[in-house]
Amino acid sequence: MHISMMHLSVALAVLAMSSARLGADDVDYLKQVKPLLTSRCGSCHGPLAQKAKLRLDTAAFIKGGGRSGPAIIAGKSDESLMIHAILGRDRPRMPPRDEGKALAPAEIAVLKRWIDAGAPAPKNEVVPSDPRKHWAFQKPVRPAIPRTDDLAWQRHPIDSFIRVQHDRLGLKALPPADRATLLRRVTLDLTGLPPTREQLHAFLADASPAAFDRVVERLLASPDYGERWARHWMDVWRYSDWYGRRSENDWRNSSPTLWRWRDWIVGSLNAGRGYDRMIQEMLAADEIVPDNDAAQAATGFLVRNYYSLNHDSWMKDQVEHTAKAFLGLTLNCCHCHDHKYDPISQEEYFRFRAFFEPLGLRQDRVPGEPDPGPFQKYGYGGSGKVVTSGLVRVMDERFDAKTRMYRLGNDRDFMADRLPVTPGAPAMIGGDRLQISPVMLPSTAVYPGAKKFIQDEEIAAAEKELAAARTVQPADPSRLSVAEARLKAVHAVIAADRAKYKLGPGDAVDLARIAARAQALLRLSEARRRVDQVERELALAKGKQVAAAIKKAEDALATAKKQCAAAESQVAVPQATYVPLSPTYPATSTGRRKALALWITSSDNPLTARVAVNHIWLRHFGKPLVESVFDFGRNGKSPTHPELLDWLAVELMESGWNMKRLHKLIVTSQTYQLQSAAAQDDANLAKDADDRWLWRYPSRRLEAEAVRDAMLFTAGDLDARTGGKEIEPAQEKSSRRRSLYFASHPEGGGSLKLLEFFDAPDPCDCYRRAESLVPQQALALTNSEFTIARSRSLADRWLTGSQESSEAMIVRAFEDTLTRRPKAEELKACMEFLESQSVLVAKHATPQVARQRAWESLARVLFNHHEFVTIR
Amino acid sequence: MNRRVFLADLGMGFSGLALGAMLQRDGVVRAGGAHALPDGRPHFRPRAKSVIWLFLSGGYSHLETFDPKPALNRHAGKTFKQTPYPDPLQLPLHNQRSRSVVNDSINTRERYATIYPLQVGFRKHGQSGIEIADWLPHLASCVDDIAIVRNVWTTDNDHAAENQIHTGRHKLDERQPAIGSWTSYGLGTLNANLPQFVVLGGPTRADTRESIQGHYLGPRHDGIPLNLDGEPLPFARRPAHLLPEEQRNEYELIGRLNTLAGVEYPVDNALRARIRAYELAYRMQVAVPEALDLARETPATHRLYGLDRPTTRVAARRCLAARRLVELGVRFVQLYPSPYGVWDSHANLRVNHGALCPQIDQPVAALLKDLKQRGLWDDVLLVFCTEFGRTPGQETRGGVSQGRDHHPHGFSVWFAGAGIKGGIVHGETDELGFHALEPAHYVTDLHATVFHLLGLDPRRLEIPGRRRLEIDHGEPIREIMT
Repeated sequence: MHISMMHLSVALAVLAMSSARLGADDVDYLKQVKPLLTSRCGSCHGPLAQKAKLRLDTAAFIKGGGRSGPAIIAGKSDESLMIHAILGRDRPRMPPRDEGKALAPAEIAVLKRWIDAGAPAPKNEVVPSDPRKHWAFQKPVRPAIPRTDDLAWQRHPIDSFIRVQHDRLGLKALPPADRATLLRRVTLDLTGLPPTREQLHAFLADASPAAFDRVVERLLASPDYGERWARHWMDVWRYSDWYGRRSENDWRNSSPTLWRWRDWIVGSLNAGRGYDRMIQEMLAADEIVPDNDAAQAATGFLVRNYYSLNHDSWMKDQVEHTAKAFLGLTLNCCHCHDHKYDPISQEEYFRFRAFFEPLGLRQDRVPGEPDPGPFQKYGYGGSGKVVTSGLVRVMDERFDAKTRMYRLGNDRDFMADRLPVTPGAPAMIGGDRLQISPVMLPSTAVYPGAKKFIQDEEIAAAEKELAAARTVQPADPSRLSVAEARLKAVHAVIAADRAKYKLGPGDAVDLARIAARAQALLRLSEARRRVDQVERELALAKGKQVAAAIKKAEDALATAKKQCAAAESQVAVPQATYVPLSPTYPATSTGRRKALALWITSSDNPLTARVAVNHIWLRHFGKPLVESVFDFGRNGKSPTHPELLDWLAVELMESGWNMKRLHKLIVTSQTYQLQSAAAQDDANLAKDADDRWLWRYPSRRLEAEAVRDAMLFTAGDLDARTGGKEIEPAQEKSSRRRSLYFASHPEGGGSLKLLEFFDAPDPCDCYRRAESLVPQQALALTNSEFTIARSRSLADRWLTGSQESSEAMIVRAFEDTLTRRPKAEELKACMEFLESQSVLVAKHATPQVARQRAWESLARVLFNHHEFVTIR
Repeated sequence: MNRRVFLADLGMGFSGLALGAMLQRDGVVRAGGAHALPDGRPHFRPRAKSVIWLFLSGGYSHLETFDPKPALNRHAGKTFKQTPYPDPLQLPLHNQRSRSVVNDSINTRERYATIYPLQVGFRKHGQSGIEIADWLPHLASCVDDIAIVRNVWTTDNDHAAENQIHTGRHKLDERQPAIGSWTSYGLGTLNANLPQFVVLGGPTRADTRESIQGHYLGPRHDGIPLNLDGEPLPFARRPAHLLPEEQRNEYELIGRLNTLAGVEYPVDNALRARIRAYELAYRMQVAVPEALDLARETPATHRLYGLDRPTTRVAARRCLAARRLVELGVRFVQLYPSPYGVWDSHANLRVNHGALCPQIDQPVAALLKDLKQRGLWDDVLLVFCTEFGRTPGQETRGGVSQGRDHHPHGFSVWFAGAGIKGGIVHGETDELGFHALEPAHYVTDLHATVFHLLGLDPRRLEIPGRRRLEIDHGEPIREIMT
């Protein structure tokens, strides 16, 4: 956006210089003057804002002028206010220093010559419309499904919308893809894995009209679906495992338990959780479902942007990526100034930030895992300790934090004259009217120690130790008394906690004293045990007559006795407070993020559903309906099929934001099922070579993860276990799990080497995957140990116990890898290849080894076939 | 003509010269939507064909290498206030030119006000009489061939400045692609059988990878680290158990089957591109190990670089490999002569620099001499730089002594080779070596200088939706150009 403006001004300067040789009459208002004023003055004096009541976006406005009078006097540049302002003559220079550089002399010369020539401009110059009327800022209304004469295209709403454009442009859709291609397409698309040979045969044998529907149902019900589509959403939501200085085990960004958010995404998709619900929990599970422990993992969306060294950096990323991911707005542009294209002010940027300002992190205990202890805040020069048990999640804790506006993106240059801002979303889409009310949190959220699982685990651990202490041989009386004291203390603390949080009977004050005394007794028995132990050590040392050891033990005994005495005196003095089972957190939350989440997912929000539909469409077709997937603003691209986009957006919302339904709707359309292969002389090519209008299915390369997963699956090597802590890439050789479970972060080793050349996602920014085709891909798929191992497994599968002819085995090999039978020429080529490989290798090895090697070679070749890595 | 159609119509006899670049750009088209892509030609007459960018990690002291300040010896032990010079800590420049990654509220890094004397002597060298530290005798012998720039500044006062000098952006700002990636994107390659942006010897720390990453230009413009020991390039070595002919047969069958598929998919450009990519890959597998085979060089050359001595061997191998790569048409070699952070001399600077300088001095000087004697001088641009300088004051943080802390306010780099004047010093710091004096150069001026000599106008490489600021483009340092 800014880029194109800079571009323009450079181009203009060049234009201006070249036209300097021409007469003044040659200045072209539309080509030279208007673009210059738009790019350099437009954001303050145009449709978005009219500072000093001045607009410069039409010649009429320029002549009419603003508060200070007409901006120009035709024929007299020296007397024109605009020129004075640009030169800073007797008045502040325009544009102001904060807003941009002074105009170049060549640019000023163009303006002067235009004015001196009488400021000629076309009569019918159109006044730019109100930016708030931009299509994407209007609530989508379900359009009528257009009628086409072709019944086959009238059966499915998507097809009707697509077909009317074909008719308008004179395009003729290709026929549907053959069934094998279709099965492979939909299976890869919905699960990221290819169909098996058995599934192929079953589908080809099923002549029922419902056969395809049944396949789609099966795929959407499979857990593979969640793993496939979670990876897509992880791109959009910037999933990254923790980083900072990972090689030094120093955590600074994201969190070591972020993988729980990944598992939450997979689980939510498989469970069919609504897209609206997912957004709500990601932004505010702690406020919306504070008593649902599992849902807190959703706030990984916020935790991911955490940066221990700098709160501003967290806030900046949070604003930018919340707006881009859910709203398709480039709110980040107003970090430094009012938005240059959309009606959003810099103040609104900071108001959006205020939703997140109170954020802090905490680390909650998780059933069956060690207590991670309280979250460790960063201290200067220290390093962030990596604790992988428990769950790092958000809470509001900075209740006094003010959101203050600063200048030009410099977070040290606060605007002293501006009051701190209150939370709010852009007014142009109704975000300024949010109702924010504080949320009272349930006791288990405030004090996790009150959770039943923590109490149960504490009791179970104490009982287990007591049982062990009772049976240990030889008997250990001091251990037994510690264990008894511990169990008593645990029970006393739980009773006191229950009274305190009104979860159980009794007087809280009394029970607190009892718990405190039980804990003091526990410490005393521990201290006594320590004295016993040290006395034994001293006796041992004296027996060995080692002076240094005796001295050490004597010192230790003195310390232990001192501690014992201290513990005794603590028992003697009643205490009112005890050590709780967990930290205690604020009892309320501001409710800011809850309000934001409900506003984003409201059916009145014009952007959310459209942006979601576009992301989903992109991943089914390899191309979106709106090219600029994170910018639906005025500088973004217009939709190719605006009515279809709106129809789908309304459909998504009215279905309860049901994504599986939307997938099914899309893949059961005829548009989705078209063949991708076009003939060289296809008439459509001349009209729409890029297939913008979907007259054929656009084939595309598989994403990095799917390439690897498909190889594992085809070879029969895939380890289908789901979930868990991220796997280090160093385990690449030993782990055969799906790629999304491997570590993904921006540092070295942050993705599998094999995936990097296939455009593995940038964990910091990947709203849309790149699709490149480089020679390193070929090297990776021919030379990697991974490929060697997979082709060996696959060849083993083919050869083990097989009595089939080579021809039959080649057919099987094609069906396994490419989901189709070989053509006659392909069969012939493979036969010749197997023969020559066997002969070649047999010179160096036994015929059995040669045969095995030949089939491994064939497996490798088929993994490298264009079709293997392509969705056709 | 539609480039995609053009690509599809290429015959099998295509030389492969620009193909790699084209295939890669094909990726960009798909990724970013339609916009004008670079065609691999410079925007104006280039004076350099390729670049060797030498980066010394950790921050070498400008004061003990290329920017001698006798005033430090005269005022050693005094505070800035006790000198006749204005107190550099009190100048507004001080805050303008440093920005801490750590929130100021928790950053307790001290300001060092006690002046620390120079730790090495300086002597004049060459016709130009430019002073060079006594630790760098070989480079001193080349002083008439280099242009020293003494007034560079950056803003990060910690080691993410290493990324900043390569991307132009502070760690807290939005990321930008590295300079090598822009070069790769803008100019493509002169030899499709080799990667166009090569990295030697680094980055050895995971969090400094941004220095070689293409970011939004896509991973295909990431620097490719080539390894001088072991496997030279990821996946570029045929598996040991396969016979050469066995693998060649595989590549042939892949090509044959894909060509057969082309009958059914006659207008599938990706399919055609993949067929070519496999041909190219097969050649690359041979070309990369050959390019890195230093044994093909004469013993005299080995001695020139210092391959025969343990002290200089590591840097010598990298410098010699860099020369071979640019000779073969690699566009941009980013060379780390020494490991991550070693120049970071908080304590015992004299020992640190005294040991490190001899490791790189002869190899880098040999690279200059070798480029000259092989007639590559007018084609190859050399840049020698680090992430920041060192404080004129003595560091006292955490009980360290005899060292200098990080110093973003002014430091020295040098250029040599294609389009560069030899034997000149450009710019200066103040008398105490603290602030780079205006007109000073932010790090993107180094980028602008490189792009200018390569014939690239960075403003014409913009990607829609990716905001770059004026400061990202910088200004070429014309005073050092021929």
